[in-house]
Amino acid sequence: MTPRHKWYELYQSAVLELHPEKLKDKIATVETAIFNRYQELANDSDHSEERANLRDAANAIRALQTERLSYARTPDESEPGKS
Amino acid sequence: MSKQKTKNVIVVDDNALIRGLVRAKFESDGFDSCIEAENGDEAIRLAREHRPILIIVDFAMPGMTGVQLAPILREFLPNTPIILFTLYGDAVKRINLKAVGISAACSKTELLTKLLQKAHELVGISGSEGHEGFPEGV
Repeated sequence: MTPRHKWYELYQSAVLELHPEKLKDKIATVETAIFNRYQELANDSDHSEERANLRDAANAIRALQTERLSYARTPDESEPGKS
Repeated sequence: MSKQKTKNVIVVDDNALIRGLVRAKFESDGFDSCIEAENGDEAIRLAREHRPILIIVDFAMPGMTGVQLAPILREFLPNTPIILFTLYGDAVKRINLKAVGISAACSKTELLTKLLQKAHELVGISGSEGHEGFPEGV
């Protein structure tokens, strides 16, 4: 993996969080960090590995939302990571 | 002088920081106000009250998804453009967005400027380029 960015540390912290309320807060924080990192990378054609990692992290966060926080799922929504 | 319709927008997102970024962007570029809603129920109430010219909805929210919210908004705002704005492009790729009343989709993996361009295009404030759906390989 390329050098770790702040978003990755926040992502790892969210994945390991067991308390639902803390998990909700951590997911919001990592979502923002991923969003901000994508904004930084938007005009940069490099960083393909990090983009792939960001995408995987987003899929994992979606799974955490639906499986551990009971967020709504749309019936024909793709399974996270199985698009 | 004729009275002009207020160019107000509603942004629906459970993430307060992203809502704030969207609001700041829109209020600094052609829109009179951007009203924030943090979930579907609040969005429905605010949309009935303010009759916005455009609604931006996140996909992943507690309570109902943006895809579930859109047809409810469509019942009383049949002609208001609705843009799905999400980080989870993979999750919505198989969903027929047009069928649920979503006018266009923009990915949070792209510059916020793209969302603004699409909004301008849909409400006709000024000409701009946008895209339909999600780009591949993001």
